[in-house]
Amino acid sequence: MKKLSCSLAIAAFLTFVNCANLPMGPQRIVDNKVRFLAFVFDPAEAAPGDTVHMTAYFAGQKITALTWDAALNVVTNNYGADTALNRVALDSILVPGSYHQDSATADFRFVVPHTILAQSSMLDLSAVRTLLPPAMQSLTTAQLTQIMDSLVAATYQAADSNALKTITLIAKYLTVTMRLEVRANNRYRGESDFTVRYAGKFKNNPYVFQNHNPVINWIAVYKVTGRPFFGFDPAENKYPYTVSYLYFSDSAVSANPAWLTDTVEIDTGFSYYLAADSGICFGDTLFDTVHVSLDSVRDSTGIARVVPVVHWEAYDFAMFYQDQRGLPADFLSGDGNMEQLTPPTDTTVAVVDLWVKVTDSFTGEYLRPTGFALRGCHAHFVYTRAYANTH
Amino acid sequence: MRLKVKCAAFLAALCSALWAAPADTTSAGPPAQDTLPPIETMPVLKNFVRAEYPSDLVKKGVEGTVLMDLVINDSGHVDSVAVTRGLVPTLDSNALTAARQFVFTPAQAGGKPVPVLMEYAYHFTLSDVIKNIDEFVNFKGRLIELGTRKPMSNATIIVSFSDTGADTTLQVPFNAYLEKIGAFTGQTLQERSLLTQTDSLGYFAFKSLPLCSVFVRIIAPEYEDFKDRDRIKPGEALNVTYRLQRLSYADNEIVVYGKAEKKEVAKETLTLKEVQRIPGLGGDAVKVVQALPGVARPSFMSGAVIVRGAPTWDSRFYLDGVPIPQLYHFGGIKSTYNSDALETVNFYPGGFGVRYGGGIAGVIEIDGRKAKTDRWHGYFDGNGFDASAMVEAPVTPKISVLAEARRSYIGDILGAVINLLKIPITVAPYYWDYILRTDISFTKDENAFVTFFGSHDQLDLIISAAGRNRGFDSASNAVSQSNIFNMGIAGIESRLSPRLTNSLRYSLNFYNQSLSLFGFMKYSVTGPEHYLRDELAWQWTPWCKLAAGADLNAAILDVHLKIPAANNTIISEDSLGWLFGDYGAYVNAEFKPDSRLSITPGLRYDYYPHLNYNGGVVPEFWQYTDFNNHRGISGDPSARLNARYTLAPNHVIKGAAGNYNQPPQPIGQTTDKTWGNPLLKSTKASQVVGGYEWQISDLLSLDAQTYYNWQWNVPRQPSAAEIAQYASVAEAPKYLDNGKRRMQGLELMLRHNQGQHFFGWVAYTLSRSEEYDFSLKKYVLYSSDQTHNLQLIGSWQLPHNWEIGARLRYVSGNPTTPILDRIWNNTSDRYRYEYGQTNSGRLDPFMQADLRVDKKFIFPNWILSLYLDVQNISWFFYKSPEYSIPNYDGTEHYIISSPIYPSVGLKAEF
Repeated sequence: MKKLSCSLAIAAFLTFVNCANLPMGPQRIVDNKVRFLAFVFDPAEAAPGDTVHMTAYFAGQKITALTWDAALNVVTNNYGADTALNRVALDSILVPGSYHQDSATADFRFVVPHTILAQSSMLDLSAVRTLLPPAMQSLTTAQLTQIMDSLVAATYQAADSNALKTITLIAKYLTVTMRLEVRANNRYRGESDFTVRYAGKFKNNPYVFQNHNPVINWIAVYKVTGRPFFGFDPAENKYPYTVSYLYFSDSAVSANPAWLTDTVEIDTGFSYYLAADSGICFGDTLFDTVHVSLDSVRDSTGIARVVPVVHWEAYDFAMFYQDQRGLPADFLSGDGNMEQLTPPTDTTVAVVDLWVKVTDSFTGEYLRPTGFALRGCHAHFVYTRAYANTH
Repeated sequence: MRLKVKCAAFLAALCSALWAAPADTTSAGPPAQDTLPPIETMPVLKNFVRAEYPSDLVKKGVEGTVLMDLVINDSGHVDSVAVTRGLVPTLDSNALTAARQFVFTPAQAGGKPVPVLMEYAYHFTLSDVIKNIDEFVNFKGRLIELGTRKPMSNATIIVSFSDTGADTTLQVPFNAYLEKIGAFTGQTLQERSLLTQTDSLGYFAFKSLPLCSVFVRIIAPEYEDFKDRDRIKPGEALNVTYRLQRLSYADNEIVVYGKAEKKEVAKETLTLKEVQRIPGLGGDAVKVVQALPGVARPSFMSGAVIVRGAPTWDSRFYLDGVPIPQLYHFGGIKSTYNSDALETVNFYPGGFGVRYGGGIAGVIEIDGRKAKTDRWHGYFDGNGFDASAMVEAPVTPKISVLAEARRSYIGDILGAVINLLKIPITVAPYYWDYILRTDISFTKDENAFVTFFGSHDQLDLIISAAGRNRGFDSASNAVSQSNIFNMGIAGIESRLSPRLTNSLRYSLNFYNQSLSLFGFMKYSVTGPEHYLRDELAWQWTPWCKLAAGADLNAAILDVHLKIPAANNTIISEDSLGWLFGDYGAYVNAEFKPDSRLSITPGLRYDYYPHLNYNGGVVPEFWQYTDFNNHRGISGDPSARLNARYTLAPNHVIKGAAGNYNQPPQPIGQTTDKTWGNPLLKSTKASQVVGGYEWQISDLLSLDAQTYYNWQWNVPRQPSAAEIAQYASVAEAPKYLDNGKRRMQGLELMLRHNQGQHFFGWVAYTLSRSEEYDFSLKKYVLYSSDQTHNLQLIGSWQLPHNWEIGARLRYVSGNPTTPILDRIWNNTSDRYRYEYGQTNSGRLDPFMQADLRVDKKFIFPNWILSLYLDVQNISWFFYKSPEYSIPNYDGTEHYIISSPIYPSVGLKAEF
């Protein structure tokens, strides 16, 4: 809702200031360009030495060639200037035999190098060194890394609070980013950062948050009676509506198969919205989004203190459609987990390919491990006579 | 009267006859003749009797002389009278009657009184009657200006008379009466009309006017002729108030004519009238400098002041000699100091003297004006953005007060529309400001003022989200920004002796700034800022004036910052009592060895207590490499010189050179321990300016200048590649101070000062502004470079109080950096770009026409002004590009152009 209002305001402003042509939204995928949809890592974060399964999703122009690189040292300062160093070919970290590729996807497994922490320029424990136990304050970064490796190897799970706190602090700042880069069809470039840290190795630590990829529970089209001017929110109960589920998670479908129908009836007098859920919207899924972490706060004298801070994990939605003849330019418009869908005026349009991508965000977490989810589906449009007669 | 001895022989004979001895009959011959002694003393009139002068004859204007022969006996009495030349019978008879009563001292001959016959002229004159006319005021009044109620002094009032016979009480003919009253003090007679002039308060008076109709005419330069008819009545004094209409009401502000004394090389002074009439700038004093050469065009809704290609923070802005905390209300809509309370705007685009420190580009100094002291004044102004009101008046002969307040209502209108449409957002942008100024004139040698000035900008945008509120805190759906300051300024100007003057300024300002962005970024700055300036000037000799001064600026701020860093952590930082300061001292001398040459050298030192570096010990005109100049405390000296030489009457050449320094900018961020580098040096610059002035006529002038500025120790953020050279990001400095810039250009200003009907100018700047690119190892265009900047401005006063103005601009397009490649990022789902050479491209040129129309309605005691100001009226023909926005993958660019913006306003003033 708020994003729709923002969009309205922005659109109004752009019109007012006479933008020559409003820019085409990113939702539209054309078949003469490679479009990157998502790189999904499983797990969403990993420790040095772990194996990660990465699936890359593409759309638009068919994939004929992919060239992958990895950068093991991504340097970023406070202002966001970053550069990728220590590049290696993917083969150097690839699990042999794990690479698969077709015209729209590529997936492979890679091993996070053990040496990644040692070659990083980002490691800086000065923020928390004074908070460590006295015996550890003089240890070098390499020595602390070695300790963590040893604890991981021993599958150590801390019990007392001091140990938990110490491991939390060290694990938090022994965090680096590596980057996968791809060149598709010898022209189109994409990249994805991947967070490497020890968080996943200390599962009983309530202060260490291991990120997981979000899950898309369902994708649906809302058919709403009337034309809500300021966006539609089913929770408001202002407008009658029906729902066509284009996608539903397997467990629910098996219980209610009738919910899954990718057929959308287009009629006059209705508005249509494409919506998706990833566990937070509409109050019908788990609320696994809150945790308390330890953040360092620097006061005016420069001394860091560790304080518990409540963070909220947020989800960002992006929706895409494959452009085809007959679809209006604003077929999907808006932002967020619900976008307005403008039905085709050409009633020969029967099927439209759709994708929903969810990205989780978590401000406050050092080098933010990001989780991704992508789901594709189809919408089959059928048109009423009344609609056909007017279009 | 005249006495004349008419016939001495007759008298002698008569006397002989009267005194002769009896006839001697015995003598045989003729009788002997006796010899009479000569008249030794003539008769003197000692008892004059006035003859009756009948009023009817007086009224008829009958006057003249009756000639008579008088026989005066030896006792001095008149024995007989005879008219020898008469006037009119009545007057002849009356003259005879009176003459018979005259008494003379007898004539003397031979030592004895003797009778005489003499001629006497009796004059009947009207002036004898008129001298008895009473002098009294029976017609008075006051002359004031229509609309403004300003008293009109030295205006000529002419009273003419048509029915000259109407006043039957006149004892003398009308013309004679006029002649008489025309000699009264304060009035004169010309061509049968009486004239007088108004005094300094506009009052006038006529005395003893005849009781009749009078035709009044008033003549005053620059005013329409005034005519009226009144009647002078018996027993009462006619008291009137006449209101004259000016030919033009555009000049009712202070106007600077001719040549103001120029000391600085590159200085332009604008009058308040010019400020308020330039189209497209909303009558804003500070924004008007954008219409001068050397100032780049800022982007739409930007409040930037780009002087000779330098960023805004390189220039300094002053109000009455003290720094002004905030130049514009947000978006650059209006300056915070209401232009109606300004005296002048002084703009120094460069080459300024040692009086100003802490800046390396230009100086804008605005001077508040005193309240008008003649009477109460005020106004109310409403336009598309805000409403303001002002009142000013003399409280005592030595104290005057000015009070002004202004508030925007665009936010209220927007909120009402939003509520009406039930849009689920709350938006409340508003600003207000106020001024309260008191001027005190202690003596003719000592004046003081106190000003309270404040500004409040507030923007709140709250987006109501149905359902859950996801975010860090309750402010997660809101943007809130406020900039507030309240300051007091005190100033004293003293003439300590005929050659010694002192100027003192003190200001205390309280800052309160805050920003909250959807709950994940918060920032606030609060605290006081002190400023003290004092300058002592001594006219040592007629050709040399010395000055010494100091300006101390200290801000002690509490800064609270909570902001996400690029590594996704939230940095919370509280800095309490953070001192920012600039302590400066200077000396300069103005040498004028003759009337043609003026040279002003000066030295200055600026100390920055919040910095931590080894400053220079000698002025640094470029980056010295062979000499280690960095041995001092955290400050730097400067040396500056400017000179003017009059080649010939109205032709002046001028030049300036000097070095400058300022704290690293943006202040605070660059030296912050987390976000900046506390060891940065001050940024330095040198400027060289050369120019020529030609005063073509009293109103027309040409000013040409060329300049070359270069800057070093400019703060810059290291590139990613430079960061990567360090063992860890933490070790890499957030800022380096090895940045360099250079600016050069040519400026032309052909200016027509405010005349009776027109003012305007043509301003052209040819310039280049560059910054050193460390990756390319060469200079590239700076983001504010605008090669050509041409402006034509004109404002015409039309009859019936219409005024129309136009402004045409042509400016080179803003530099752009080409996108060479695009890389999609999985996390942001956006493309980041790999850029080509910085600023190697340009948008299309900017061309815009603005129009302004003013109309004044003059009422007896107030004036109503309506105005229409249309910015970018050329939008219908050409849409100038402001911003180039790439689409989501950077393959296309969408040009945003500035809109047409009409603004209507009205102003009621008295």
